[in-house]
Amino acid sequence: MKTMTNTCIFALFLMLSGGLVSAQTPENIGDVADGNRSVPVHLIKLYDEFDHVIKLDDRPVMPFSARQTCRKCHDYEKIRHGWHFNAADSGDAGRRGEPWILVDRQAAIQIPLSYRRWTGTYPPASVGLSTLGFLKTFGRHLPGGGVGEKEGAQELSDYMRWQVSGTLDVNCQSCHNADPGQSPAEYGVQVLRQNFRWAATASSGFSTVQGSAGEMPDNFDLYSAVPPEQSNSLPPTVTYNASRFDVAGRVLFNVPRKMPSTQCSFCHSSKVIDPSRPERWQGEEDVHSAAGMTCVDCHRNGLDHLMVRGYEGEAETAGRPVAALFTCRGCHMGSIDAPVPVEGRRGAPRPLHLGIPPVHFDKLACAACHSGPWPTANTHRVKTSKAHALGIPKSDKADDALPQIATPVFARLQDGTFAPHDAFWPAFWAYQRQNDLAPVAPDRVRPLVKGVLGRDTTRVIGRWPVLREPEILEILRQLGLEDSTAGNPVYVSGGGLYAISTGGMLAWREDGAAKPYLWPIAHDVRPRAQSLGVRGCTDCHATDAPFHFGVVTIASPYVVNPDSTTRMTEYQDKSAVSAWVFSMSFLFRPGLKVLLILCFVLIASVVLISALRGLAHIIRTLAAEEE
Amino acid sequence: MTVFRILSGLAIAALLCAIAYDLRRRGDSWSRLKQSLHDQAKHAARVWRQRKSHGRKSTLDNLRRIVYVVAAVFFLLLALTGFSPILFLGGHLSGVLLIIHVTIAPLFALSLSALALLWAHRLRFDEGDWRFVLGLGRRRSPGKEMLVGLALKVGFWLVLFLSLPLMLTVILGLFPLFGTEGEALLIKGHGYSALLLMLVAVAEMYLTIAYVHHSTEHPVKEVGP
Repeated sequence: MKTMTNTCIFALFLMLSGGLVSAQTPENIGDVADGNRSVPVHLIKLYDEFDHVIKLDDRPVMPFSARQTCRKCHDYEKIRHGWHFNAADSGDAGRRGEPWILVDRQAAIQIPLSYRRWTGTYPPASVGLSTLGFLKTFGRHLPGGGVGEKEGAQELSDYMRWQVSGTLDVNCQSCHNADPGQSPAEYGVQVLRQNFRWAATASSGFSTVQGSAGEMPDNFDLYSAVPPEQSNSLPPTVTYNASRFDVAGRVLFNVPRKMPSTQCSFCHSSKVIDPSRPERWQGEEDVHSAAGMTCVDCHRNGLDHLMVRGYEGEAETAGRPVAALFTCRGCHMGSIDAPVPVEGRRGAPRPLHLGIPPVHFDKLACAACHSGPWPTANTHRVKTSKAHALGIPKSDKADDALPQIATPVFARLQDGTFAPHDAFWPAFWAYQRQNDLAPVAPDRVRPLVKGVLGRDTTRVIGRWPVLREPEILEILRQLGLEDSTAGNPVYVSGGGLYAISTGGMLAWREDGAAKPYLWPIAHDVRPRAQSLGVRGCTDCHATDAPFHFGVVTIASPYVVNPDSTTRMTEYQDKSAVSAWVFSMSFLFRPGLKVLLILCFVLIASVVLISALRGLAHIIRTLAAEEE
Repeated sequence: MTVFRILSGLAIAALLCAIAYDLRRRGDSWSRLKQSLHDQAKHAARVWRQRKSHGRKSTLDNLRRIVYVVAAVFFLLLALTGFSPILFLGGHLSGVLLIIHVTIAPLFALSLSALALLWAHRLRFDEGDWRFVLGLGRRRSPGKEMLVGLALKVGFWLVLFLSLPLMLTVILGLFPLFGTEGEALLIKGHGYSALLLMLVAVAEMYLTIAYVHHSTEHPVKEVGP
């Protein structure tokens, strides 16, 4: 009996200890550095989404899954919550960034969307974009992951389509494959074709993907042929470049330790439309890039892939003190909180800021003087990768392509400092109930706009279907008739909110939802000699200086105020009059200097002469006493 | 900034307490103070009306007094605009207050220069002051008028002396000579100079208004020979 009890206890111990051992997560081989500074060679086997090794004689040959292939050595579960993939997670959204901008020119809509909870953005679902729809629209510039692989984010109505397209897993190669054949553009094209599970393979540079999952029926099966009714369509198929496989079926990936900036540029490019510099060669690049630095020199991350975004205050808001070391100040001026000196990293020079009063460093972000295009009398338009699908074949290359984003707009950040921003003005139809706006999906508005404009055969549709007051009234009325319980139909455009007044007229009013969506920019950083203030105070403190008095163009589809303008002070919580008066005072600055010097010399002379006379008197008195 | 805020707050509070204590000690001084201010205003108005009828000497005297009053007013405005954002808001001087401050500053510099030229000779230290100082050392009870007179002279020269670092810190800051730390040091120097100057100047003005007994209705009695 006793032996049996002991055996049971021993067995229980074994079970428990076995359970404990299996519950521990062993660190993956690729996640533990031993200190060797050479770059590990990534000659690896490929795995498909079902974790089967890919062989060239498989039929059908499957696309490889970055998730399954890379997780053999790296902690995918940890990586997938990194900054590029965690928009839909409930973590800290951080400083406001560039949103996804849904543009539907036929519905006169441009609206900022984001899964992050940045003030001013709307969740994609609010304009009728399902997760699948979001990926079809914007997945071209997403490195996968996030909602692309989150089953909970998939709408039931799209269930069958998800089976066809597959999930859009994190595409590790988007950032980590330095092979010259790695094509983010091809990745974008594949995503637009709904070839989610094929996208990473297609972009890898050693395979070709043909066909479109988007054209396949809901009952499409990976392992069977195309149904007869789709005989003209080519199903997604992969052809690998066999020469890239070694005898063991392994493929060499070029994964340097530090990624070149070109990997980041595909999604993080911008083109400033500056008429004075129409050609690319006339522009300059970021001074850090020109000096040979890469993006990841500052925007670093660990295994968790929580990139350092590099803005002031990130250390506090994100709860990561180390982030303070990788801001502009962190590298160029150091941190008083750092236990050892950290400034001068990678040769960062300490700025002298000769003659600049310290108040500037409390009121301005470093980017205010050093980043973005040099401000001119009028803001420029800027095109960005995310907003204008830059890099994707057949994207609209016209300079005035929608959405129309203005830059640089000098506005206040949340911490009260001024920084250059990109800005655009939302335009969308919505139902208003009390203070809440519920945007209307473009699909619902498009026919209404088309119907209204269709009556006017003389109308030339440009970038916007420019709307006039009676047309907006008509569309709002029709929206009201469509759903009388949804709320009061309104149109947000050009910085204002339009609704039908009690008298049946179009009424305008200010509204928070109509305010421009602004996000701070930090690149390209200009060299010191091209920083604001280098020519003196009047770079910013002149009565016509763009910093305060630059003209900001508001793009709007509403005809009353298409391309209306405002002054920069509108976005600075500052009175234009006080800014002008203060700037005016700088006209007298040279005279003030002369006057103060003269007064100083005069008073100093009076004091000196009197002191000398007093001294002479003391000497005489002492001499007299002696005599 | 916090240290300066605390120090200037304490210093100003101490000065105001000292003035309040002195007024209370003198009992009827509130009414005398009011009367004195009223007399000076009346006198200034009369001088202005009769400026053409005065002789050269009288005109110069009037000019001295007017310059004194103007400099005092400009100084009080500068102190108000300079210290209020720091004391009450704990922030930098900026916005409308900064505009007022930099507009008045050159006017104050001009009036202070004029004050130095016009009053330097009258408020020079002399033999009598020297004997008075020696008398203090021998524990003789000093005459009140002499004491006030000497205090006014000391105050005048301290005001001039302290105005030098006050102006120099601004002048240097206007040129691209100093970096971030240097500029911060200049601002700090400007603040502390201004604080000392304010303490001396307010005490000087108080002594002038409260203690100088006017044989005429002049705002500042001629205390020198």
